[in-house]
Amino acid sequence: MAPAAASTRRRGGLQVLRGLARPDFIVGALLVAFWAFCALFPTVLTSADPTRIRDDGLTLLGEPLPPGTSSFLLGTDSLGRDFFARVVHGARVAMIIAIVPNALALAFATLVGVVAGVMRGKVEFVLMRVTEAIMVLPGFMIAMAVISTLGTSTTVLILTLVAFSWTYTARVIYGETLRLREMLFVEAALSVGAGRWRIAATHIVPHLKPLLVVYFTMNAAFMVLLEAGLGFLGFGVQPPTPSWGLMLAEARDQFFYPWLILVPGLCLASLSVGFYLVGQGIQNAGRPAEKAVVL
Amino acid sequence: MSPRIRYVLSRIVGLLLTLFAVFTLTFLLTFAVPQDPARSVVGPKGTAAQLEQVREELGLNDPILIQYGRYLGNVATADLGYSYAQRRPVVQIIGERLPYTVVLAAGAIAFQIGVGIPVGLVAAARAGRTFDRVSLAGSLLVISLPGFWVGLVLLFLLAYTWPIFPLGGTGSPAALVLPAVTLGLAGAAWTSRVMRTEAYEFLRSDVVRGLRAKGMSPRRILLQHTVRAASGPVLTMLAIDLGYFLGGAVLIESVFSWPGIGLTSFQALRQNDIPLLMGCVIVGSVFILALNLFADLIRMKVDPRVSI
Amino acid sequence: MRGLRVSLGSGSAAVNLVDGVDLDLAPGRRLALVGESGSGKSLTATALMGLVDDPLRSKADVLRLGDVDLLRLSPAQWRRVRGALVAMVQQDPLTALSPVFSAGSQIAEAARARSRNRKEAWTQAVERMREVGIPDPAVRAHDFPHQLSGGLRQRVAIAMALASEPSLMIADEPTTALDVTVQSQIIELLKTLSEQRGMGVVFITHDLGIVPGFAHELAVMYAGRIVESGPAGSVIPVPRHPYTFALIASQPGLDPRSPKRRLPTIPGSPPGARSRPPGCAFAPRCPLALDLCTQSAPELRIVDGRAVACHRADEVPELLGAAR
Repeated sequence: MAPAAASTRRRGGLQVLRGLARPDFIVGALLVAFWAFCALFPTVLTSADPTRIRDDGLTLLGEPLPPGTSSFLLGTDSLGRDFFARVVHGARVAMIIAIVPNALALAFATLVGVVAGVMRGKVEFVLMRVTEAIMVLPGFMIAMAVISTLGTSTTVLILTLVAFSWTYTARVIYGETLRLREMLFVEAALSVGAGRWRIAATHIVPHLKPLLVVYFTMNAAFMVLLEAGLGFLGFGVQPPTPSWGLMLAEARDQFFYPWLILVPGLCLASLSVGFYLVGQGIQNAGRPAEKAVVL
Repeated sequence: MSPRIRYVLSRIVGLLLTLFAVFTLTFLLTFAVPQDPARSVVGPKGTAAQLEQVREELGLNDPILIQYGRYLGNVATADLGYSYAQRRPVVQIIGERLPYTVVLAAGAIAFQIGVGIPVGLVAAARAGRTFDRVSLAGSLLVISLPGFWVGLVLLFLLAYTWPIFPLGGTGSPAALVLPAVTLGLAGAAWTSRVMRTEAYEFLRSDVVRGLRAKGMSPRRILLQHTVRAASGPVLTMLAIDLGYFLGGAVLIESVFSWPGIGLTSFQALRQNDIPLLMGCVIVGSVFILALNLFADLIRMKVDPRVSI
Repeated sequence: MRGLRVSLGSGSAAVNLVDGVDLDLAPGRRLALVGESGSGKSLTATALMGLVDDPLRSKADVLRLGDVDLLRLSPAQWRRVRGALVAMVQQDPLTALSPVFSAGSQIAEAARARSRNRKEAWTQAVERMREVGIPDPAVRAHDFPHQLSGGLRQRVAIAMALASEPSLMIADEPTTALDVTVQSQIIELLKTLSEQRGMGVVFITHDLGIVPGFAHELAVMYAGRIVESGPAGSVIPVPRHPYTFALIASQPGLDPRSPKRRLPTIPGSPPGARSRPPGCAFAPRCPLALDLCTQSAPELRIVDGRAVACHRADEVPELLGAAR
């Protein structure tokens, strides 16, 4: 028996990889990988300093230079800084936002969801009411208020992002925990006398893993766009650190210089499309085309 | 008491509890802000005596629980305080601004329904073919776009480059178009995807096999049966979206200078006008909560199978 | 119907899920189409209604209902035929009836093919419900499917199929999802309706137990082909195909020779459509298989008043024993 089981596990791993070899997953993975590369090794793509105001950065009238002018691949922004450099370095902020608050929110959501689903009763009631209360708040407004009160440090930003995005995932995980509880293997384990938390750890959490992976990717996109929105209004990462949201804020009335508006938005869009495609690819790994999940 | 009524009542109780939690949270938040309310009222040049007098008037020296009770009482009677910056009752300000948010929300939802549902239906009917593939890819792209950026781009193209629409504000009815489309665009994309999934499942169900066995034409099947059967999750989603729109679309209102409660909250924050900000938060929460409840009721009504 | 083939895929990779099926049914007669899951019986029913869709394809040499040549119909003409000439009752009425419309409105929808008028269609619907034995039909018509018991739901489905007065009713495992006591009621109902209306019935099932007393004719399917078919009165007492024999023997109560013996099971399982052996598809599991059986697939031939596809059809009763 043992050799058969071992080879099934190995085959399982290889099958997963093969299942992922879909066009949407590959495109998504490439996009995310590209921006991750920019975030990790920006100097490979550009040696320019994104925060340095260049003497040759503006026209004689003080206007930004359009893309393709002399050494500026994407031109300059309204302050005369190398725009391409800002775009590339901006990926760092985006990737950090995509990963750190996302992972924290997911961990917290899992904790809340599983505890509520396993313990039932009063604990469940309280947890779910609190979750709903936070879900119902206009998160963006309050996030702005909190950040303007507590300051614009990265820690505050990350904690605020976590505070207003864990609720939806927590509800989903709670629902899934309930569903898994009803399954026969849990009943079987209970009948053998296994403790509640042991069951949770060994049976429920592993089954949550696929869901968690998918939500991690979806929420990555959401997080990036959320921070961009906050940054647009001035509540995100502060200058001079380049962030795409901030760059859009700076470009707000610069309709005459369209690249300043178009480029950061396309960066945000491409990163989030990448995450969504990765999430979609994982969900549909190994499924035939008819059964493809689209959400 | 029928189980249905019992369920609705328990949901309302849950709603009230959540509302209670919301008010408590906003109350606590007012304390988190380091701004001294007395200072905001009196102004930077006020004397210490004036400050103390204002503090007494506002009841700021009372124990927290008393302030809390007073706060809850005020909220219950729709007294949301007095705006520091504008020197008038918060409810008055919100009363002026709320209609704009409502109109914008209505426009966005109309766009979502008008575009999302037909696209999803047709995509499901032509599953696997060009329309379906294009709409799935397109909707994925649209979901990934930052909403406020779409607003900027639309302004750039349709208001700046070709002056078809106004550059923001509320001057003419045409001014509603771009903000409503921007706000509703992501929702329309989601709606079309959900609709497509539900309709796709339904079209492959035994019910449709039976309908075809009855000799029904594809168009009738699509329009009469599929829409009804597939709408459940879509309507629920729409109700929740409407809730969030009414809760104040800060970004979109800000891009288009649309004077709804979203923009109001932003301006209030800028001016450290805490009562106004909190007023916006409370009004927004009430809407979101109410519409979430409405969404649950829809879910109950549309699918008669859902048992309590 | 002659030569029905339902296939998946194209060219050399094509697989015939239904591989040359012939069926004849005289007006008012009842045929039981019996087979395990995967035998192709449901697909045959689907093909009879012209509902075979991508990625499957169906083809037949002859497909005629009364005077109507079904092969020559356009999609619009097929739609008129469905419901009017031939109607279907599906297996699970809970999933086959729409949950958002009332029972009466779903029946009335079918009745509207005959009478444009809404009111008249509703009256017709109530009448049909009465005909299928639903108590208090005028009230029940307003109920939703999930409010009705399984047996009543299936009666509603049957009423729906009757509403447009079809000459042929196809019942695709209509009793499988029901309790045993309700099963016999539904079968009796179908028999009565068929006799009263002169309506033909094709009853698809995996359960031979329903055949006696109901079906005039019996057709047994295995791996996409018909292996034995003929009058029920001839086939059941003296089956001439080993598979038919085994089916009868494994039915409690059907085989009067062994009321108290252990139920024999048929070892093995039917081949999937892609892995059919070159010779007789049943050969790997057949107790009477010869080398000839694995080399050449037997054709249907008339033996003792029925059609059977077995090289050893003549010897089967002696070798395996006759039921009576």
